[in-house]
Amino acid sequence: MLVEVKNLVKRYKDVLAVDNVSLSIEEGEILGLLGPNGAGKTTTINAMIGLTRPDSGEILIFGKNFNNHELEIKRDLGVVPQDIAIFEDLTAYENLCYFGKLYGLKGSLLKERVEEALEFTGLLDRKKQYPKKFSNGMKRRLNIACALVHHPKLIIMDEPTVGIDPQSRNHIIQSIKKLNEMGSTIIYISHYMEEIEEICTRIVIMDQGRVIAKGTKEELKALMTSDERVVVELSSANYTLVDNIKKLSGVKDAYINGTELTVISQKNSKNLNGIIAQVSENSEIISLNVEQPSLETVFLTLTGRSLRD
Amino acid sequence: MTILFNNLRRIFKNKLQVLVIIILPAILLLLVSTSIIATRPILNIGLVDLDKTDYTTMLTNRLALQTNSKEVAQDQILNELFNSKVDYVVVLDKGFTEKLIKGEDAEAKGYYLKDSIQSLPVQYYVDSYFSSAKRIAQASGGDEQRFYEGLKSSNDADLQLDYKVLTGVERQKSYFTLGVFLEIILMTTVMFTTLILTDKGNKTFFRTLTAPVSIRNYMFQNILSFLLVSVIQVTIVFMAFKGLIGIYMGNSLLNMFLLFLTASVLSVSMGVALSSISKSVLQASFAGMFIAFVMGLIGGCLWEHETASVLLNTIGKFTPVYWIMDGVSKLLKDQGLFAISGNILIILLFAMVFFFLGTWKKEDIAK
Repeated sequence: MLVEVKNLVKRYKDVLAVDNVSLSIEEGEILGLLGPNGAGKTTTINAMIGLTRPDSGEILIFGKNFNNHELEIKRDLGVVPQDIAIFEDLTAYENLCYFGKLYGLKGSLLKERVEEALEFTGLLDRKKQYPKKFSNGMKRRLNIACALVHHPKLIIMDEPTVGIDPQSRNHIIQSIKKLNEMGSTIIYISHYMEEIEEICTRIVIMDQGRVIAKGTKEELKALMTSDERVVVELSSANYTLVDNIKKLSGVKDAYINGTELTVISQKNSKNLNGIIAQVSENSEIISLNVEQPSLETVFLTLTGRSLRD
Repeated sequence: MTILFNNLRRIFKNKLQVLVIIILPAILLLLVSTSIIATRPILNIGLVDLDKTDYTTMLTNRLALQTNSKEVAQDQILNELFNSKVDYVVVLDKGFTEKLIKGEDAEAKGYYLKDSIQSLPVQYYVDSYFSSAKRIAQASGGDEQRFYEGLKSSNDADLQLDYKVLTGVERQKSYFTLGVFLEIILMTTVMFTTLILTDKGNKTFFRTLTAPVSIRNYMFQNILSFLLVSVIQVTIVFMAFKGLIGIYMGNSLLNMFLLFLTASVLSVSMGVALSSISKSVLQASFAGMFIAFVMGLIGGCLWEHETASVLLNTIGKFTPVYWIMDGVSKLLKDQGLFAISGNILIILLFAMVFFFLGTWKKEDIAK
């Protein structure tokens, strides 16, 4: 195991930010960390990079205890923070030189690595420019480049694509895949389900400080196969309809979002006709869709809320 | 030392910051120093030289060096005094020098308005000049050549005496200028010590600490870089003091420089403590300026402790500024390094307390 987190607990006064979290990452993986705001993802990551002292638990990275070998471990860590953390008063090149030097790079090796990181993120032709002249996407790419300059074994990326255009996002996603192909292990935190689905080999879902599910995306989707999900778009909707639907056999849950009715039933409950009959009595059906479980559905079912709640 | 050099690069890249930290203080102090000289009272002296000898010419020339002196006609003496065109009139009668050399009772007549304070320094100066001339005349035994030789030697001695008389004024001027400079150091240091807050704001602080850098090392390099900038500021302004302004610094410029280096350590420690307590650069800047201003007032940056009330001095003793200015005062009175060693110790103790407040290790860096 490249990373092992065992029974991590972190409390801020009365708030239990991380509640007995355990997770592991194998070399060469891209681990996706999913969870709504306040789920404890960033606190867990902060404990893994030394920005937060956990109340209890153990963190082993590269087989070494983080508490005892902090500086040694950090030499092979690359962190892409959620907020863009670059010096606006230094050029792109100077920014990379600074972070490279912090990791002990110097001389021709430093120059070589800086150029390489700039080229990798598509910023080589902008190396003499100040970040204040960059677009948000370019700043994000520089933010990533700063974490790659020293060729880390483990890269931790906390929402690296927040607030950027699709083109820059695509560039970053492709870069992450490439980094993984080159041998880097990556922990990827994101709110974007499609990104997680596209690049992560394994996913950990966190909520209220706890790990509530983990596995490959196929394994997670399999968790939902016991449920069927029917989404009906109606001309009008009311809560009496929801109450009536909930009384049907096999229905686990039903809720309305605008004029969209979602019904979650046990698999093979064969209640579709009943649902249609109930709906038709009250309203006109505009469309009906029996959905296959997606990662979004898995998340919604497990946490009871969407990622952006 | 990556963080140290990075800080220096960033501080000196900012042209406005360089202007405010280094160039502006030098210009401001030059202006302050010049304005103090301009406020010194200028004495207007009228001379009625009826003797016209080498000695009276010599006296006329020497007075002209230090005052606004002019020839006045004998019948215009009262007119000139009443109309405040002159503060004092010296009348040297015909045969005055001859009487003086012969050791006879030679007295110059002095005319001034009763209760005129302005005329007092001139009276003292002229009296002093005549009394020394009388002593030389006595020693020369009435020989004119020996009298003038003795007078020449005495003039050299007088020059030294003049220097000492001026030192009193120079000392006050120096005290005030150095006090203003101390205020400037305290205020401008906040500008670059808030770099830590800037880095917290742009999150590079946290990112730097995800690298193999301990918080202790980070703070050490930051403090060292701030100290270097402060030392550069003090050095450049001291060079301006010496080269451009030419103010009096006591017996040893080096001792004064050393005292101000201690002041820069203190100001950096205050800046670091403020950065640690404040939530934003703006908050730290305003707090820093306010504290520096109040400390300057209480601690005696703008007036000497001798002229302040006992209460103010007692309160002032609880501020480090008091001890710096006390050191300045001692050095300007030509005391040595040993005399200010206690002051330096107290200032460094204050600095240690501020450093401790500023570098107190928090449990969570991310908080």
